[in-house]
Amino acid sequence: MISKLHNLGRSLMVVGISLIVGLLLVILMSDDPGDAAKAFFLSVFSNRFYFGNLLAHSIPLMLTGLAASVAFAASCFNLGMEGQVYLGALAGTSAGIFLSDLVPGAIGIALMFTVSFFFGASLASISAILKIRTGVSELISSLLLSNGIVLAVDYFVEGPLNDKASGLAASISLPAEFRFSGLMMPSSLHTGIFFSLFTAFLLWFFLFKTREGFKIRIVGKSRTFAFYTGLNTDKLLFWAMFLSGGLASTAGMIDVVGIHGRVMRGFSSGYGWNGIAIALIARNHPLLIIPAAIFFAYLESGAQIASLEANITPEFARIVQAVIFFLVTAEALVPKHLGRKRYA
Amino acid sequence: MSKPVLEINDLNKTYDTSGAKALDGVTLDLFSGEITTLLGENAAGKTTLMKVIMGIEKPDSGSMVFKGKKYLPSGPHFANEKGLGMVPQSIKVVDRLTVIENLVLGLRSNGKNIRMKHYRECVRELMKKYFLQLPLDNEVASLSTGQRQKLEILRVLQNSPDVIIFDEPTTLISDREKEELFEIIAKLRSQGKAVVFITHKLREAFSISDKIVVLRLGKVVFSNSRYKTSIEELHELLYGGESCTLSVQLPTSDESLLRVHEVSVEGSSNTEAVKGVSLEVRRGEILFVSGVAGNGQEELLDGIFGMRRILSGRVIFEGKDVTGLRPFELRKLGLAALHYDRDNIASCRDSSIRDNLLVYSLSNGKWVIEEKKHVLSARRLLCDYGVTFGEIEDPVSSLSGGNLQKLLLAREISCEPKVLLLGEPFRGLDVKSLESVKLLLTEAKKRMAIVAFSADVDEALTIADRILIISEGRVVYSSDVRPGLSAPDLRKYFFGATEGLE
Repeated sequence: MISKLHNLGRSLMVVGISLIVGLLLVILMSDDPGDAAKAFFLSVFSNRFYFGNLLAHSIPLMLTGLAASVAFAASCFNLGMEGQVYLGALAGTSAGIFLSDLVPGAIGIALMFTVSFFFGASLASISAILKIRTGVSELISSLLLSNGIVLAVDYFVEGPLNDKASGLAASISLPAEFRFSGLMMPSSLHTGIFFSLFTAFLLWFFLFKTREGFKIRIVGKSRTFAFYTGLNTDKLLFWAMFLSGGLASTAGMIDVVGIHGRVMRGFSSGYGWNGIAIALIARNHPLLIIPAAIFFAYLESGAQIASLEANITPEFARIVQAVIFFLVTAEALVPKHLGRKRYA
Repeated sequence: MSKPVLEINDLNKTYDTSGAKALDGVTLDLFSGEITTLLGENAAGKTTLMKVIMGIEKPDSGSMVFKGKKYLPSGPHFANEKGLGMVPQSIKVVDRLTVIENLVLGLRSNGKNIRMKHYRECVRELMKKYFLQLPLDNEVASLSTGQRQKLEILRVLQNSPDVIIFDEPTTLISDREKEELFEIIAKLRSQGKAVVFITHKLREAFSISDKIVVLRLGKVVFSNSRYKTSIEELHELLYGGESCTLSVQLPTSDESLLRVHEVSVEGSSNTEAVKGVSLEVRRGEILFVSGVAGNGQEELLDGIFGMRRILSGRVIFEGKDVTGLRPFELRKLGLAALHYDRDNIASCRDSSIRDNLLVYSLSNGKWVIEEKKHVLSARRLLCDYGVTFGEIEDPVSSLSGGNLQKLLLAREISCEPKVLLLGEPFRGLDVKSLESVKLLLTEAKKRMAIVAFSADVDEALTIADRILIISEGRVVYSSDVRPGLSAPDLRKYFFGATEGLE
């Protein structure tokens, strides 16, 4: 119990420090620090449009955060989430276009998500199989595969599936019945948020309350122990990567179904990468992924609003995010058990 | 009488994870040129006391005076610098570095700037002085357990400390190495060092020490010169006079469960650690594989259990060829093993006591984990095997060495395998636990076949049905245990391969 509270305290400390650093940066970079700080940190809560957008932005981030946390729980590193997000979106959307007028809306959406899940999962499985069969580090193989896939998806969006009439670098739109309905109009928040929340709960239940989840956690804690103790480590690593890839690609699909209605070139803006940071802040706990994702979305929305209302560029948010990423990875600097001396 | 080197006054320490009182007002004086032995059961507070002296743990209250000055160590580094050194219970060396590089790691940091060449000379001199011979440029991975321990001792000695602590140094090494160790300790005494020797083996304590201190539940219950006490008195103090001897011998049935045929197993760095070993074990039988540690016993266990590559030969389990199968397949068939490496392989340090204990029943149970049922069965098991613990959700690393050992035995026996392989089942157990473990094993062998790998022939003789001795990867002796077979007789075979005693 002590250690759980302790971890939570440490997470909050990281968040707190990064907010203070963000505030300092705002003050340094703006001509009118008071105004800019207010726009950055407080305006989000000033109206439903901004706040809705913040929540909408957190929806895919929760899913990539969960994707990263499953892989981390098994001590696997899925660095290919960005590619899985795009591939998932493209595969799901293609299925949606193909199915339009054939099935009713709800079934269509369910099918699109299923297709998207399996495409992303298969992509991640390639890395898992390479690791198990030939010992290639999943870190490298997933990253390389992902970078290639992003370009391939760009080709489809600009070529065969392009919506020529619109003149955009985007695919053909999905029919209206294959879309989530909006919440908190006119913001882009949609009912997909319930999907993300439910998935977080489901994953928590899976990891902490089921037999297979237990096995995955044991493999993550000590692979040699798991192997010796009679767990099929190869199989478990495979399923952890499979699940991670699948979840990452639903993050792409949910943005298509909920907001854009089509795959656009570069729509993800780093969901895959941010998922890793979110999983780190949340310490791989599926339920803590929810506040962590909302916090990340809050920073991004804050930066966007500040660039509209005060003279700060949107790139600025990236700097603050980079600071958080840095602080989270520099976690080793914080003593593991603050205030309580413990030696091995 | 001269002034003590280290005075320990009224130390108290309670662990917040378990709430157990590990030290309860311990007062102790250590003198130069004296060997003090700390005796006590598992979890009596011996290791905690040493950790406090070395600054690894902070005491809750109490004080220490070292050479007339107040001594408050902030960590092992500080203690090393002041002139206190410890040879830990589990050997901590870096496998991938050479012997001399490992020595440099332990060098006192306030030492003068010295050149490698000069340093090498110093180490050579030191080795000569204490009769500790080690190959300086070999990788530590190629050393035997006994040699690694020598490396640890050398690492401590190079800083010429005034107080040297040996934490259960005899649990890991062979009898011959033990003799050498005792010589080193005697040498240290003659040079005026204060030596602390921790053990739970009475005879050892009696043979080398000047003063004997008995700890029980964190309290000093006895402290006197060796010459003013007797083994009987100490035995009484330690175990309350309880002593049971076992004489349960069962007729063995004919059902051969495990057959190992001419097996060779790969060792580290492309060597052959086990060279064509054959053995056979039946239900209702305990087979002991003995010999000096590091002669291929560990590798043989690993090889049978699919954790190391078998180069040639076959392993037959219930008539089925299981050579090269992996642990999860073997466990399904009914072969279980307690691995030698308790800390890294046989247990998962970051997991809770419950998870470590119930890893099988959890991973073979219902899809949704039945928490309540598991907590109950975990408590019952821990109670049955006499494991002392704080909370069931505490990390397994909060257990003392002997308690961890009991927990692991509980796990392996309770999953009711057909054949059980045990790597050093008696390591780190005090007399009471030892007796109960022996009883458990003789009880368990009615249902299964047991192959135990242990360097401890004396203990092996008390419960084994057959004994096999391995030296340099080959079987040099094999016999049924019969009255009249004695440990010294068997030890002659320990170096059989080299000395041609076959």
